[in-house]
Amino acid sequence: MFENRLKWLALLLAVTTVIVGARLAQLQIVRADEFRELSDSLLTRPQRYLLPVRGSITDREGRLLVEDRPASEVCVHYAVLSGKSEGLLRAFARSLRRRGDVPGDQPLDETTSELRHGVGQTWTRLAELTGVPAAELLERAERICRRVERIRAVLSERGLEGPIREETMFHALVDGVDERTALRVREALERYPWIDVVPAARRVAHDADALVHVLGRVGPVTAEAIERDPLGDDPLRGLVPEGRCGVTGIERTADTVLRGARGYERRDLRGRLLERVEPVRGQDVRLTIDADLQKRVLAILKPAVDASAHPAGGSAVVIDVASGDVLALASYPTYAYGATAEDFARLRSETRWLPLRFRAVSDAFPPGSTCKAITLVGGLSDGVIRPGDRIHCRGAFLPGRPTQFRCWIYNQYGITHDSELPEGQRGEDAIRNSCNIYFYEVGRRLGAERLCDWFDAFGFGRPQGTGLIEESPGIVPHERWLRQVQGRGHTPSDAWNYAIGQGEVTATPLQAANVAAAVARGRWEPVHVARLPGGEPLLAPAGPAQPFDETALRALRSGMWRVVNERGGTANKHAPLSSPDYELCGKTGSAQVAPRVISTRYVFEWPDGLRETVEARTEAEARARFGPAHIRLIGTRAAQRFPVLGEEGRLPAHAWFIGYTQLKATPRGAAPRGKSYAIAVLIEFGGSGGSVASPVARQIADLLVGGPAVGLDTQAGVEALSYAATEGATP
Amino acid sequence: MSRAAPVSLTHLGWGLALPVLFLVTVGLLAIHVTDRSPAGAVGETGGAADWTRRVVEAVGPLALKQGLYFLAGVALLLATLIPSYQRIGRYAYPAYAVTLVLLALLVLDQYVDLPLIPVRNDARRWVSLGPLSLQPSEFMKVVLVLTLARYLRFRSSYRRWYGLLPPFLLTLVPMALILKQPDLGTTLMLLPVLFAMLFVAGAQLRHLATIVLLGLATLPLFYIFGMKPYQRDRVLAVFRQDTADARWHMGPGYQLYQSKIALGSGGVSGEGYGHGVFVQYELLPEEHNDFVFAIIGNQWGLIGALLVILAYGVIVVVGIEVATVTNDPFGRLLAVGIVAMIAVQALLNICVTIGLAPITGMPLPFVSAGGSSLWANFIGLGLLINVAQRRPLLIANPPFEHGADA
Repeated sequence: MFENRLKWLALLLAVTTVIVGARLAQLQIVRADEFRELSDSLLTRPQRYLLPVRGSITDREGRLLVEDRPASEVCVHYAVLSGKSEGLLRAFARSLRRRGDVPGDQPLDETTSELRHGVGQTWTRLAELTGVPAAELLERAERICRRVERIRAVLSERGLEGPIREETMFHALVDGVDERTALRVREALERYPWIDVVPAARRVAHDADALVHVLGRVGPVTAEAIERDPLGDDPLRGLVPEGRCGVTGIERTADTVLRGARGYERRDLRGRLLERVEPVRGQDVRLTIDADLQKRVLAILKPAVDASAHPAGGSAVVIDVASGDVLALASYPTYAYGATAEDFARLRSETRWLPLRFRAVSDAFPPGSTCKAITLVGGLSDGVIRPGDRIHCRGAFLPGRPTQFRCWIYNQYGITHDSELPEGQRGEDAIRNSCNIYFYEVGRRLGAERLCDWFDAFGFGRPQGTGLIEESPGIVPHERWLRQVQGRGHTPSDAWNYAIGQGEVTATPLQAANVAAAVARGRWEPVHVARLPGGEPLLAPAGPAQPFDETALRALRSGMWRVVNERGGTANKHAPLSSPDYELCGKTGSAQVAPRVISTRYVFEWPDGLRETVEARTEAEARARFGPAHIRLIGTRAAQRFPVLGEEGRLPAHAWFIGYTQLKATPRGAAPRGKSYAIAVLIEFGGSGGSVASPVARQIADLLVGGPAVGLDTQAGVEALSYAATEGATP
Repeated sequence: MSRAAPVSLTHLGWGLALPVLFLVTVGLLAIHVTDRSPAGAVGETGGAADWTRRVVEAVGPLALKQGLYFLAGVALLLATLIPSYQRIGRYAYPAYAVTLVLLALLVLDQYVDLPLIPVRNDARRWVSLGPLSLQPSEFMKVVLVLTLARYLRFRSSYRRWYGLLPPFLLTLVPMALILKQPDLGTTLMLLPVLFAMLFVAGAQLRHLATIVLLGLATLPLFYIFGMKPYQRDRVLAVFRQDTADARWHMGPGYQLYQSKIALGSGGVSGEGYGHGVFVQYELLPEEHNDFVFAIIGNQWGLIGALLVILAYGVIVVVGIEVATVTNDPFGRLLAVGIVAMIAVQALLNICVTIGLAPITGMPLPFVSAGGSSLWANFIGLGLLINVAQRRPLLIANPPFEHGADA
């Protein structure tokens, strides 16, 4: 019985085995071709991304400013960049042997050490072939490693452990390599499998130095950029670590429009194409700025700044009143598009000229007397004063204190506005004369908080709708802001100061120009700097349009007309246009400011507690003197300022002018007829708005309304844009 | 102390040793060819002598480890040969108790955190002793065979209903513990071993058939209530393996799909050793363990696959022959149990690989990477050879010594 049962058991196993054998035959003979096909085609190589061409940026007239040009990138594997290449080299050595590229009897160690030798040569060879110094290459490698470390830190904070993708990737070390160099690198470094030359694109600018701040820069994608990417969830449009994105300027603002969408390609393991999705070129963006006008404006601005008492930079903004388009957004000094890292280091240390500053939108200054325009509209609209009401100027605002809160004319000439107009000034007279006393009084009647509401109405304290990250909102010193920042409430004198644009209130040149545009238009509106191909503006949150009381505006506009076009107006000497048809209306300003710190005493502490003080222009410069030592910065103190205060210790002043153009046929006080352009000019430390800023505004206005040629060779002007800063120029 | 066992090296049972050597070799080659571990992982430890590094590099860390497991397995086998199997049989119940306690501890670890028990892939299967991790469930296979053989050897009670209860209890308790690990594959292979042993021991066919039918009838209930969703997916994967739905093949059906592509693209003669995409890329999950048979079929084709099956066939035939010739009941049941153990594991594993059974996580005996499985099977093999070696003694028993125990 036992043997019988054993036989049955054996039979059962045999039957099962036959079934298994039959199934194997079915899979490996009958359906073999089907599976072979599957193994060939379905087991695909990971998809490879195809980079899109980034959209171009043109100016208002369609002149090409920046575009993508095909170029190659020389990429190096992260393991080699970070110096942790041993494992990688071994893997390479194995794959070389598997491919039969090295003799099979050569020991793996020998191949590896040959490769190691090659790694040592990588930097010098790359430097030779690409023309980038080896030291620079090493520095870039270090930057890449730091970036990857940061990404890793971010990911591990989110609980993702282990090696990240960036650590097994090739990273671009030299970009924008032309075809010939790319070929040479490919040929010469064929044996170095950790070097890869891949097609990429280079951002090329055409005569765009005048717009360098506006255009901004394209750079490698950072962890932060991925985090804030609005298209992050889109697999083809979202940013990826190995890609590029706009870092500053319009490149950043319009990045989602410009970047386009990646394509991809999947191939099977024999290299046959399975699927290909073409990349989608990014859309072009058209600036509202006229590149030619921008150049001419800079050419006007430069000599004016250089000729001013304390040359340290300036800016000018032109807005088309009807459309809100920004036509020129000039910051002087500028620098060359495509500046290298070394250039940037040098530019950063120019602490007097600050060439990297996009000052037209990023630097908020006290608006000075230009602010009186807002004070007048506020006072008239709120009814604290009527257009015909007259206020006497006796030189000082407070009867018992002749040394404080004085009128500028009393300061400068020892006279009062009452000596010209004994019956006292109306609002438009006070604008013409820029009388401080009148506006102290209006400010007193309005109070600081209501005055701040009017600053809000004219767009202070918020971006103007360009979407530029450089845009500073400036400060509107509301009560809650003061409490938060300075821990105090408004005092009566705050209202007096704010009324003439001094104290905490600040505005950028762009905001100032938009105030002029709002006055001309009768309504505050956001501005535009760029439009999409369809013509719709690139919108950024900036607040709703804000209409103003026409009666108040009439008084202000006639005052602003008289500033320029009536004998005795603060800008009458320098600003009347030479155009036969057009005239300029405006308001001058001279805003007292603290001098600029141009060098600093840095106090460092060594690990042993010893302290050392170094004077330098930037912290990087100060640290450079110590080499790589581990020192801790424990304090700073201003060492040198510009300009140096005079004997009497009076603060320097920025020279302002804001205004707009109109046809001469425009009735006094009415909204401008004809082409109306709002202009703001700021000459830093220039002093008097009337004599320093208004001539610049006049030249720009003449240019805009087609007055007689101002005698400028724009080309020469732009080439000479490099500012006057020299070693000796720093006091 | 009984007399020294007559171990004879020329009498090792080549009918068993040769196919096992073949299987181990095939396994080592398959593990080596798919070893894509980064070479640097070993190379950069620094202290190792140059030649050891070269050896590790040439062999690959996984195959090297498996080779060392194999040598240890041979040592275990030889150790199993020295005492007679009957002597070993006396320790069957204590061994069963120890293994059961270990299994119980693994289950206990789910509720109380015990030392030395790591959690891998959400399963508690291992007892970690320094660099070694042992799987008590693997050893339970062979210990259960020993225990059942010990229990059943002189009885005939299992020819009645109530007599089936003790052997079933002996099997079901470890099954329940192993199921809790969870390790469905090992759980399920214990039952066929029990049935095979009861069957040859002479249990009533109608009893066994009733139990099998009852078991089959409860399968739907088990499917609905007893299985986790991923286990249900694995059952479904067998029935839906020829669907045209690419998402199924990329999802729950992926492993089987890739396994079949590996086998099918091997064809009759295979891709050739070291060639093909399955060598270049890690396209088949568990390619060293549960799916090593697909790699074998891919590299050496139908011929290689059939040779492997043939090797198991030889083991089964020789094992059955050992059981037939032995007239010691314990030796008989032991031989049958071990044959069943090896055959059931091999068949289940291969059926999983070719899509005839749901994926359960069952290694291919003597071939798959992993120490515990290899050692348990080597101990089983040792017991089988032990039985085979002692058979001349039994055959040579003088007829007048009836009943005398050898």
